Amino acid sequence: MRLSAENTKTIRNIITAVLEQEVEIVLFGSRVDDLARGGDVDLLITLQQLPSNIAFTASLLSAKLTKALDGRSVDVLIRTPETPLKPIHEIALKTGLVL
Amino acid sequence: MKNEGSIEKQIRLRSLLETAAMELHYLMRCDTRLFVIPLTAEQIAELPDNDELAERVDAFVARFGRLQDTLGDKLLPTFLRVMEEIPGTVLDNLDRAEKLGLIKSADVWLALRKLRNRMIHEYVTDPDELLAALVTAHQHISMLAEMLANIRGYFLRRFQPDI
Repeated sequence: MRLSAENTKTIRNIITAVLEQEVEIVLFGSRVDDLARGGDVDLLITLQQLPSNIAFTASLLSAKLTKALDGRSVDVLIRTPETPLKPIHEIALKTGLVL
Repeated sequence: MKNEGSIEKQIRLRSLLETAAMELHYLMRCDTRLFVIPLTAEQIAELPDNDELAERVDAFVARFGRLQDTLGDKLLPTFLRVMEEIPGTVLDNLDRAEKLGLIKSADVWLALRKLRNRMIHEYVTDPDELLAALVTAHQHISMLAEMLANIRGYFLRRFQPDI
């Protein structure tokens, strides 16, 4: 995994502060690959209660995380355990790492 | 004495103010037509068969994006130069805009940029999510309009007597 412990902690803190609930955060995509370089930070967040505006909450998280990670592009997906799995969710859960 | 090129920078700013004003005008016209009656998830679900509404959504998303890009990527850095500041990265400039009171929140501005990817009906298959994204953009047009009005206000207060 190519994220420092400090960045991981920052990600957790920001997400928890915005969503105000227990969340599972999975890092997937190129950042999981130790041999890749650079790349976006792709996150799948699983939580119990969906925010009222998923699209905006996910965008706001992307924005705050991008700022906190010095401009690196961060993409955020939000789901509950009950959300039907999309292909991208399956890839994330299969190949990703829980932060 | 003014810096070399300061008149050119002012002319460029003036031209960008006009462009942004026109883009806002067209965005508002499209916004009025799209949200004249509250959009529903049922209507969104029928987009593939409703050419008129699909085109209206496309126009709204394109115009929203064009105005936000003109404001954030062109007008704001040009404004900072006119104010004899040195523009930085997009993130730096937005933080500066927040400090100057041009926008209420750099985070929300950035979030609206990210949100634009969630307003593309070819990709977003969940009607509720697409609807929420469109309505959120609709509700934040005022943020774009405010940045434009605030920059124009700053500019006129500072330079109008000279020109």
